[in-house]
Amino acid sequence: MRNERTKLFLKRNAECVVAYCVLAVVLVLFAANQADFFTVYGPQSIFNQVITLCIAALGQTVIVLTSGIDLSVGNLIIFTNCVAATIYMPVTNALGGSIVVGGVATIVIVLLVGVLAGLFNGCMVVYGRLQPIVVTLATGSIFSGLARYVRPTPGGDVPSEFARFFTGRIFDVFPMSALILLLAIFLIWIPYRKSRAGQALYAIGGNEKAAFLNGIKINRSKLIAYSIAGLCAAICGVLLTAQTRSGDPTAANNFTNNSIAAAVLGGASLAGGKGSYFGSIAGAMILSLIVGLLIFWGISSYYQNLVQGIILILALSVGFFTEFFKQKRERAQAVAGKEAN
Amino acid sequence: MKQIIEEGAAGAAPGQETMVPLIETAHISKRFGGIVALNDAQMKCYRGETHVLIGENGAGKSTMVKIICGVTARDSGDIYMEGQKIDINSAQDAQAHKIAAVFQELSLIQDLSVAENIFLANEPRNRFGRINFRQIYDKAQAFLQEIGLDLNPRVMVRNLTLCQMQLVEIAKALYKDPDVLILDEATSALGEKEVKWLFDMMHKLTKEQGKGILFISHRMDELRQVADRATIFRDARYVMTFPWGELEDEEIVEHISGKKSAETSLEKPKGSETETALELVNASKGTCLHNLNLKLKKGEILGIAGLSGHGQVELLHALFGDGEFDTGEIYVDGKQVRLRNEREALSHGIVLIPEDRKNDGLILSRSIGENITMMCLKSISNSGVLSGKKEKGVIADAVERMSIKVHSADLPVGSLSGGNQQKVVIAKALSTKAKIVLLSDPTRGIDIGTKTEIYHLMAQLTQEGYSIVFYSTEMSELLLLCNRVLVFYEGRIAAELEGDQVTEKNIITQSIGVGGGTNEK
Amino acid sequence: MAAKSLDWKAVVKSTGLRLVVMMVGLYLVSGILEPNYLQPSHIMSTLVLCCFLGIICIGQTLIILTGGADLSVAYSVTFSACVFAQTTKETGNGWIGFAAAMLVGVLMGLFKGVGVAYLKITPMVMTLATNSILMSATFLYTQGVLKGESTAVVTALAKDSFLGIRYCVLLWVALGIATIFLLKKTTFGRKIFAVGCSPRVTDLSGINTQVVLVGVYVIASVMMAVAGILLIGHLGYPNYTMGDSYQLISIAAVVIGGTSILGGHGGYLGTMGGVVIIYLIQSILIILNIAEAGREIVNGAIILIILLAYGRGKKQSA
Repeated sequence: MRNERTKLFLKRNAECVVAYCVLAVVLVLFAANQADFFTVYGPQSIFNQVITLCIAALGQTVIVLTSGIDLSVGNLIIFTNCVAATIYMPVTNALGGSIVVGGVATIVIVLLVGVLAGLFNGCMVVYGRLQPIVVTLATGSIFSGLARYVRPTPGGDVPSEFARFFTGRIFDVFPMSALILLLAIFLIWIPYRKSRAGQALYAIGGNEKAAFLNGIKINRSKLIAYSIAGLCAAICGVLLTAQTRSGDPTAANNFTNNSIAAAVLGGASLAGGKGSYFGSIAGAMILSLIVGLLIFWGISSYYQNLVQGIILILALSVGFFTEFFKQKRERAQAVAGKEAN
Repeated sequence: MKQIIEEGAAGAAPGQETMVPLIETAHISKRFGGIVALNDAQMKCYRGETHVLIGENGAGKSTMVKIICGVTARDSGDIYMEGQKIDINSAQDAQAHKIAAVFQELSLIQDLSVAENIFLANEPRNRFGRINFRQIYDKAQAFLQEIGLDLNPRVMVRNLTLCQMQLVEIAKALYKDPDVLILDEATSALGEKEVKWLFDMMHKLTKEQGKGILFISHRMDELRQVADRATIFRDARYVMTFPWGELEDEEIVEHISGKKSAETSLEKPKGSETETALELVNASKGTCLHNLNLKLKKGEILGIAGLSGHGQVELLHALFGDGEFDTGEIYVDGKQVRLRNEREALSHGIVLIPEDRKNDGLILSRSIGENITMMCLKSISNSGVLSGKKEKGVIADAVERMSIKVHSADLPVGSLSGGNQQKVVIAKALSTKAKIVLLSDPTRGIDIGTKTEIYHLMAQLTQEGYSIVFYSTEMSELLLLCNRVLVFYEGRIAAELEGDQVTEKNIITQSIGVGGGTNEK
Repeated sequence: MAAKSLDWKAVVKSTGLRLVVMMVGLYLVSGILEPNYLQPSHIMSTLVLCCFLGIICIGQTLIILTGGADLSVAYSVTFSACVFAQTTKETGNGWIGFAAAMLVGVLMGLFKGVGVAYLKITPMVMTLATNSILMSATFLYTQGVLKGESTAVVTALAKDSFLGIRYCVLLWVALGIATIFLLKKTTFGRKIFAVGCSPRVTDLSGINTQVVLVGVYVIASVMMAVAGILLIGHLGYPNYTMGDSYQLISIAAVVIGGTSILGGHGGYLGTMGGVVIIYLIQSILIILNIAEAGREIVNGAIILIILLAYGRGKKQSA
């Protein structure tokens, strides 16, 4: 019984097994190359490298599960980043000068902005009855414009304590980035996944008509999904603010592309209804750590995108090749069986 | 209360006028764009009865039940439940009134487990809105056992057979413990064993528990087994309600079609004694087809029978190159061939009319003309450039030959009724001029009039030199048309029946694997 | 009589009329705001801008019609442009550069097409990955130093006119007519629509969907290569970001032109309208002297408004 259950579980999550295998290889290579890998600095630097993409990928996964795609996430991250970098000091001063109070208030405001932006996407998809890809295409342009409006030039004033808090360690051991990732999983993803709205996500993505026939509140579920995606983008924006201590509206950012790639690498299907947080996180980690590995090996950064692209294509071809070889094997077996007769 | 149930159980009890119907609809109208789906229609269903809705495709039965369960909004009219006027505007409303439905098209989520599907939108939650998944599996397990279904609640629906999916769909509706259960063509994918299980279940629900069931099916023999009373719809209007048994079959058909039914008895084409159109030697495929040997004579209709899911559909698809055989030899007109894909099959003159016309047969959003010419693009073009004249000719021929009722071939196929859609599928296949036609359950869910037309067409085709492999889930069709029938059991040909051997009893005994088989080696 | 009034309704509801009304409206607005814009010379310079996007959109339209979307536009254009410019400079022969760029176009198409058709990778992801790869390829090929130049022929194509009409606009119109013919009047066009609606039905109809898909991606990538070459003629030199702005706007133009993002419905004539509309909006924004921030916001908002006006899906029902 237990055994069978494990088998069924693995069958259900077969896609992200590949992602974890690749991740394991990448981590081993990291351990071999990074001198301080096994000290407290190792995990700290690793999690600082992966955290932003992990969070962005979580948001993307939610949208992908509804069979949508979010092309605005990169610009929303930049927008929230610019908002955070711009309002931090004014808010702090207005609230009496404490950077802790100011920081908290800034974060709350930024997260709210993110949720509202996500909700706007959601409203366009739900009430506007437009395709997610074109909606987020257009809103992406709007968010990018807003970012330039808020911060016409790169810059901003972010206290170094803020940066140190988010990129440092707690009790000098545990990386803060890892804690944030855990919080995102346990405070946002898991409660969401285990709610009816989360279950509805899979139903809508799997078969929207069937979900409708079953009486699932599709509009509400989608609005929640887009809001959560917006929230994730905003968290990512805050973390980016902490890492760069500034906001840059013109920064080239690969968050949109990489978040989609991470979700897909982690076993999510763009057709919807398939995907999980642990898969997407593995995908995001692979994509971010690869960059680090190339630096270790002294390979030109020109190869970075090449490697990311090839990994994505290879990971997605795994399904095709396993199917191909399975068929070949079965055929061979059938022929062998026949000859034995 | 008890009394009502007993009276209801009497089916067409004379005292019914005084009883309050469990569910009643009155003056329901509904339009889809320019098409009237229901016009001032009504029906009543009492506690303890199985009420069947009959009528041709597009007569309004499905629309009626969809309005009752809230998935289609009515334009006007009222719904009453036990005398109280109720308002149903969404699937949630219907659920609140304990109305549950199983539809022809499956509404399962492929990537969720059986249990998750059963509980979809009704998951047990704790105080914080968190779903209790353990409870879902435990409860589903217990429930499936209670209703006598052997299904693992943890299996993903994707990995089930079509028949099992339909069972899950039924279990899902049953789990809601509905007062009104709607079964709209719910038996279409079930085998005979499962149908019997369902009918027992229905009997228990109505006669023991006093629930009401609305049942829609195109299979007369099923209606005969379950119906207490029946309501006939024709052309979006209510025609009549009558206690089952009061009308003869011919009278019912008359009311359904609005005209006298034609006598349906046909000469069974026997085919050529000497010429073989298609031969299969020791063909096997994966786990679904084992060691098949069959010969299709030229000009015959070779029947394929058996309970659903025993390899019949796979055979037809494999013969069309949709999933190649692993081993074995195939001969077309005496020449050995390989059928690795659909294009190879077509080049050898084999064409398939798939069973799932909406997903496999037609592109519903494209025009009738485009669908008809999809398989013969070469013949309507000159080196890749379409010829309007040739295309019109092919379409006009097809529309006329199949007597497809249509104003313009530029309309989307989706705007046609089920029967006419099926005709388009057949026209599309025939346009290839392929002489070996594989018909996979071509009459599923279409009206009696069109069915008869298709039978006549098949007989006609055999005279023109076509050879047909005919798989049907409806035994009466096989008895009507086939001189030879192959009965499938677990992916093998359990028996080959010919001439007088082709009887209902023989087919059933062979298809449940107790006949010993005449073809076993 | 009744039939006639019905026809009118269909005309009013048709995408074509809306596109024309929108184009005329936007054109008049830009003319009112800046009378110079009504002059033929300005119309021509707008059309020149349109023709690059227009040729890219031939590819994007075909791909969207098959149910995909090409997210590799940016570096498909840039890479082929760089190859053209650099090869031309190195060999000193524009035709060799042209041939190299075309070859790159075909290879890119084969790569994307094989991934989508045979490896069954979702088009958007496949093209996304291809974009990454092409980005690296561009940097590796140029080694970070952009070099290269246009040739006289290509510059003339982009800058010279015939009877007051620039050659590149003529080229766009010619390619556009060819595309419309391909979609409406050939069996290949029929197959493209069929694949976009339902690959399963197409397969079961004996059509080789994989070949159709590969064909579409090859044509599309070649078109992007052509646009890249023309851009070199227009700009005179390659540039790493020359393709970036076309990435998303090409999808927007196709969708504004009435092609369903879900595939299977639409056509290239509408896309041409969509392209013109996008540049008319741009020129109005330039007249109004709105800063880039505002332009982006208004651009996004207008695309949303246009789509809300007619690109809406059906209400969920059974």
